[in-house]
Amino acid sequence: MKKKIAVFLGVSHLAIIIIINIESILRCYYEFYYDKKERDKNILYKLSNSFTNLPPIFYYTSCTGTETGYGFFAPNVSSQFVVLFERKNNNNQKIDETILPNFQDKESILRYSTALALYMDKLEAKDKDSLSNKIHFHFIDVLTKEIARDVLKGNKKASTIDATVLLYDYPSLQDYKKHSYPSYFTVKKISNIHLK
Amino acid sequence: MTETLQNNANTFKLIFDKFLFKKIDVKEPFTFFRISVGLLALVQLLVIRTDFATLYTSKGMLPQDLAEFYTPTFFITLPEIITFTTELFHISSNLAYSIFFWSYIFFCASLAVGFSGRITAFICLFLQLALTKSSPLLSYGVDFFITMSLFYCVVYPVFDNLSLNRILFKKRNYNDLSGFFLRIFQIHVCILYFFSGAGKALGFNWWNGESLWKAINLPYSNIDFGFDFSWMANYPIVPQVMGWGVIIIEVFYPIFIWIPKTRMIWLCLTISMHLGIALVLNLYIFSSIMIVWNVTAFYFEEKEVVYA
Repeated sequence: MKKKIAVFLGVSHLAIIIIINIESILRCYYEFYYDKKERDKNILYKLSNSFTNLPPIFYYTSCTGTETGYGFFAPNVSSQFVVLFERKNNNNQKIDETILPNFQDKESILRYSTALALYMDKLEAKDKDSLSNKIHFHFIDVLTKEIARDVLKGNKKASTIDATVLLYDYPSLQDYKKHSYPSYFTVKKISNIHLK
Repeated sequence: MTETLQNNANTFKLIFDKFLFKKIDVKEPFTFFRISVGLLALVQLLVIRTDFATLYTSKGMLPQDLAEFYTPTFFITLPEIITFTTELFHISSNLAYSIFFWSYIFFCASLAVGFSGRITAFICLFLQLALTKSSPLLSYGVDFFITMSLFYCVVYPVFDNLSLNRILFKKRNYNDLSGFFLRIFQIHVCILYFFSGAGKALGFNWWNGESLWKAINLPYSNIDFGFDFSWMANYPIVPQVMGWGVIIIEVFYPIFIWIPKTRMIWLCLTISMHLGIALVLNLYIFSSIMIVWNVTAFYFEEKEVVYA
């Protein structure tokens, strides 16, 4: 009896992990090569997505860390973003600039870069005028302002700060010989952010 | 015909039973796992000690209500623990954050030394979830792996060897299912690498070297050592072959790791891959936890034992 319960629980645990990964791999594949509409037509994706969103499964995977797939850097390495913070004085003159908040630890930079991945939603969204996307983009802007306010505190002479979100584009292997430096494309600029 | 099918089914059941429930001495792998996970969870917090307030507190970079916008409501998050603690003990939020920080360190250290068994692992898991779910925007792969590792420490018999638990309470957790627990973990590791490799194989940039090239040239990668990879542009076959290598190592992991003659080779290849990720992408803790998973699952010899 003990063995049967153990097999049931163990197999269930592994089955959940497999289904989560199937859902993740299909989602990433379709969103990379096609779009969400094509993704939602795939029966396997619909079934696995429905399964992973069942409340007991959702609670279990959230509490055990099994909620995420293992497709790191798959099927493509995502681009990263850099936020340029320009601190200004009372006369609106630039004092200094930085691309990082006031971190002391290197691991913090890693976590910060993870948060910046949110800006990809702005670039990849198909229906930018939908209400849900407008709210989401507003949320991203609010986050940007809050991070900028924290950076502003790093220089007491500064009274305002501009935050420019840039998409970092490094030349491909093929293009590297033509130009060996990265390009930066402006995604959003928020100017004159004050402390609250 | 029916008899043949029945015999085949019985043979399969026997092999299945023998594989899953092989009486393996799990002291070494599980002890290694417990100590490593305890230490890594501890280090993971210590490396952000100076920026802890900036990253996770209400006075930090992100207001807490925004930071946990995407967190499911059923989680008890760090801000809720802080609010509860400050109201119960009438202390400042700064002190409450310090208590949380050092409690987490204490329980991670307790896990590493094997004190107080599953309750310690459970508290570690609870605190780790409270922390990571309070700011999911700042979480990445390593947090999920630490969570999974702590979950396994709660469920698995990891406190029976080289532990204060054993010295103080003489408690034995091993039983006939210990080998089964190791098998589940091994199969999990195989699933992990298969899907990781399969996902990459679906991306055309992993076949032409562009993905690897892009990964090593991300703005926040290669900061610590600043390796110069510009020469790869003159020899694009190198990142191309490295990309194929990553896919082959991962996709075929579930096959070659089980063959005795290729196990150590595949283990070395996988660990080398993670060491490369650590040095170039500066993902030290992530690479460490992956190496721990590999070593726990497949490094130790499967010695048969009979438990009392």
